[in-house]
Amino acid sequence: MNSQKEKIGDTAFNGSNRSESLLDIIRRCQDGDRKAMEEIYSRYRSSLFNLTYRYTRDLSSAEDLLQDIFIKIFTRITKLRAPEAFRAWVYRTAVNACISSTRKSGRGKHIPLTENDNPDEAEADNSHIRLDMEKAVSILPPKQKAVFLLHDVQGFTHGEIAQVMKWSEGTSKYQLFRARMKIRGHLKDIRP
Amino acid sequence: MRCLKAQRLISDHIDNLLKGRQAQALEQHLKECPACRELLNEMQMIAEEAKNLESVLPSEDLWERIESQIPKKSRRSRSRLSGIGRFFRFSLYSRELAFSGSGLLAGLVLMTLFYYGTPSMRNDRGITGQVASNQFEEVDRQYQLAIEALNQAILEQNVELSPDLAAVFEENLEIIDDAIRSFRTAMNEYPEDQGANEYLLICYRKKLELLGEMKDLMMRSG
Repeated sequence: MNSQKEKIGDTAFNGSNRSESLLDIIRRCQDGDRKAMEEIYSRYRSSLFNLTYRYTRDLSSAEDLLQDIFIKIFTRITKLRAPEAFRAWVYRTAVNACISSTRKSGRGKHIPLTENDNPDEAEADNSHIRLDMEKAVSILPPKQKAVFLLHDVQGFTHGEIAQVMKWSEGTSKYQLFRARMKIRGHLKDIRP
Repeated sequence: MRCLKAQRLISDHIDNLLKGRQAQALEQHLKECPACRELLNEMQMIAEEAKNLESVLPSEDLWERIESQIPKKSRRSRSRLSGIGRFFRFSLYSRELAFSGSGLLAGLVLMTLFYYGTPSMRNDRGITGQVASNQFEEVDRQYQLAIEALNQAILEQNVELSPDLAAVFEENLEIIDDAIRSFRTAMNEYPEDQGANEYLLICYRKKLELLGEMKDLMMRSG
């Protein structure tokens, strides 16, 4: 399992050239083309894995969940009626699976996050800041966590989140506000 | 402006979503309120720190594991009716949330099948009694506002339904939303035929009923 200190990005939707061919790739997936499925996987694996990781807080469980999500996506892709709504559909599938996994594992179950084994001294401070934020994100209710991760971490707009969550943009804004307030409260508790 | 209102606007403000009077009112409030200025700074910091969360990648061999579990090619079937079909089918067997009036439901199924029959059937049908297109946009907007208000009211209940019941509601809402999307697609494909407008409004009404039931249940639980 690799870990990168780079901004989490959704390569599937950044850059118009790649987006133009996405519809063709989706259609090939619908026809059962395994190469096209692998292409979809490589485009989405990073952003979806970062979602599943923040729900499971464990790399191995996050991989299992990611595996379930992609199997679900490729099994159901033949039924996708509007390929142009593929992105929202993929993230909706992922978020629903993440929320279900939270329900199955039990609300409030606390799994401690592990710190980097040997962080460089220069990075020690940043590492602590990140760890505080990871802990704060972990206490969010499942849907608020989805909005926070999609908006503040992955850079979705409220319009895009509304499509994923099947909410209005106003609801997305309100949920993000609630999520940020909860994180603020938590950070105040753990940062003197 | 009160602090409670300002707090909500601060979240939009750091995302550059505020304009005009709201932005001015908030800026004025921030000048006068140190507590809200502190909240602004902290929210900006949270949004900034979130961008720097560590990114993780799955194992190199995960794709092989996934590919081995994908079923062999299944027959491609993309029916425009499927979302609408699910809408009605699920409504019939979801006992707790069954829409009132089986006669109305049967009528809706017949109307839908009629609408999605053939282009010639659509062309033969008149538009008497349908919402005129210039009125439709306003009605559509009002329904969306009502749905948003109800969604908001539900969120503000701060009561959680049992997971099973919540799942039933979510599934029903998903089905209605699928039907809404299908009728919208139909409207785009056949803009000259306004029949889909009416069915779309029926879906909105059903969604409002469902959200209303959800809110009532939450109020009783809370």
